[in-house]
Amino acid sequence: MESSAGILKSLNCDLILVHSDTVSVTNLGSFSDSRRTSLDYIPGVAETVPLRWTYAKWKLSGQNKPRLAMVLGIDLSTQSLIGIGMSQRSTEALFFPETILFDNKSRPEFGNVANLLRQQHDVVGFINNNRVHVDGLVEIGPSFGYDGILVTSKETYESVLGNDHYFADPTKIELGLIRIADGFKVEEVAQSIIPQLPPDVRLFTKTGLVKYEKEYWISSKPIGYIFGFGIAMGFAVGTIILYQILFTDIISNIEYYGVMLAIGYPMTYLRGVVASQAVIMSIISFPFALSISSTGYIFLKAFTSLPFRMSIDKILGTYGLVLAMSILSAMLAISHLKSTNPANVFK
Amino acid sequence: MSSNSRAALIMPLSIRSLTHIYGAGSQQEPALNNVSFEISNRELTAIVGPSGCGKSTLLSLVAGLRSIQSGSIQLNGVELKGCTALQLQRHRQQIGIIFQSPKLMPFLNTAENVLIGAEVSTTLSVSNRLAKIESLLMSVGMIGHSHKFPRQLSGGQCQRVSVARAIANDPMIIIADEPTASLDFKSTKALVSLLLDIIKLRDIPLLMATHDSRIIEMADRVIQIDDGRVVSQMQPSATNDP
Repeated sequence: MESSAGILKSLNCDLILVHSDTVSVTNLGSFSDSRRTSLDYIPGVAETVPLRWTYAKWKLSGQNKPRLAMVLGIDLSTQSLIGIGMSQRSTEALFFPETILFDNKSRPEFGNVANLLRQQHDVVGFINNNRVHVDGLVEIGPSFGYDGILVTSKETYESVLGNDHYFADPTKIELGLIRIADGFKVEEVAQSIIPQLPPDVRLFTKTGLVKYEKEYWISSKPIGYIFGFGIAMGFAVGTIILYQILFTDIISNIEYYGVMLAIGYPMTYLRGVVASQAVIMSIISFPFALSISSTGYIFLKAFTSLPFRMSIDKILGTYGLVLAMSILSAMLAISHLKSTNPANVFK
Repeated sequence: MSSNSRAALIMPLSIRSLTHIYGAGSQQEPALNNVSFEISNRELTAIVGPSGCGKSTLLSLVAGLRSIQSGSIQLNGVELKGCTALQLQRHRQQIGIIFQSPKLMPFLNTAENVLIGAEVSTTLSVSNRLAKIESLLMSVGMIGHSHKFPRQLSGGQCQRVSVARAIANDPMIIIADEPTASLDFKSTKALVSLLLDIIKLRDIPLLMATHDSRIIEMADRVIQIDDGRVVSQMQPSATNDP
């Protein structure tokens, strides 16, 4: 679900102003830029930056079928806050009208723009059927909500999306990025801003908006349930496989468990033996589970261009699941130890 | 009665009016019926009788593997009837059991198999483990075989290792269930001689179920059971004496 937050995580800001109706950054409402500028004089606010953000139809010249891309319209004087690593040359290019930068990590269906830029002087594309020139590349990467990103100046944004009343209006923005001055605490500044906000906007910390976006994908979209179901299925199948291994081991060694009971070992000791086996199995199987998961991530990343990454918390989470599977399977298998009758050793 | 004279009267194993029935209602099947006998330390008592006569039931009751339904079993004066599951488990730690087949763990070597018996009630330090295993293997003539696995040993050698496992926890009695059933004459004689040496050295009794006439001849006492009842008690070694 890390992929759901996408570009939000790269924004170099502390607080973000959005429309109060926002349920996800995939569907941001526009609000008056005066809501942002009114915060410039609040103590603790170092800088505020507008960001325009919407979806539009995109196609390269020569392509028949347009695809939906995310278009970012940035204030070129403050582009460092956007955090998408634009070079000086790229920033300067965007000063030209109808000029855009193309996200080189966009899905292949958006066209091999990098190759075209090497081969020809002028790469032409269309945003909502308005002609634009591609003059460079950025490296951002898609998310669940968008497969490709186009970056342009705020002015070009308002120009090429001119057929939409809201997006053409230069007094409107979709995100207000706020950087907190050194020595101030983000939460405290946020608390001082919130009472002054009119009801049409809402303030998030950056981490708060990332979390809000993740929860939207987990709880409101089928993909969240699909991921959850996939994990549940993997857990169930893993538990059954481990249970079968432990169960088979108990049955094939039932005679020896009987001997141990007969010579005075308590049932708790035998349970401990099975539980130890389960933990050892979890340790032995973990490298395999991790390598399979990592391979799956590599394939998913290649097929979807989404920024899948096997982070430490995911590695620990994977081990936690493997351990939980082993313990659960051991608890199920241990019940079969009850069938061990030590008196049978004399038969 | 002084404590010394009282102790002198306590038999290592005393069984009184022991009755055991399998099943319930119309499915009841008596296995033991009013069995009574006593055995002394340093004595090999052979339990003989046809298959299904109740020998295994008797051994399992003495070993604390079943609860006593009726009658009494006292081991060194401690009554087993009415014991809780925990008390029976602790009782089992004081019994050395030798099975018909050695029942050694095939995935453990000789030393580890013996260690299972030695650590049933206590965890030994590494140095104590080595010393104990060496001493036990020496006492059964298996020194030098500690790293061998059961598949690398003969049947007689495996049974010797199982004897070492049985005595590893310094038991108060040894119970053996036809331990020579799969051994040849030479191995049988060697094993029984070993067991006799052990019980004399440790001053404990040996209760052995057997069909083997060679063992019966070597036994101090023979108790014949048929259909769950003691039909005779003999002392062959006494009658053999001039």
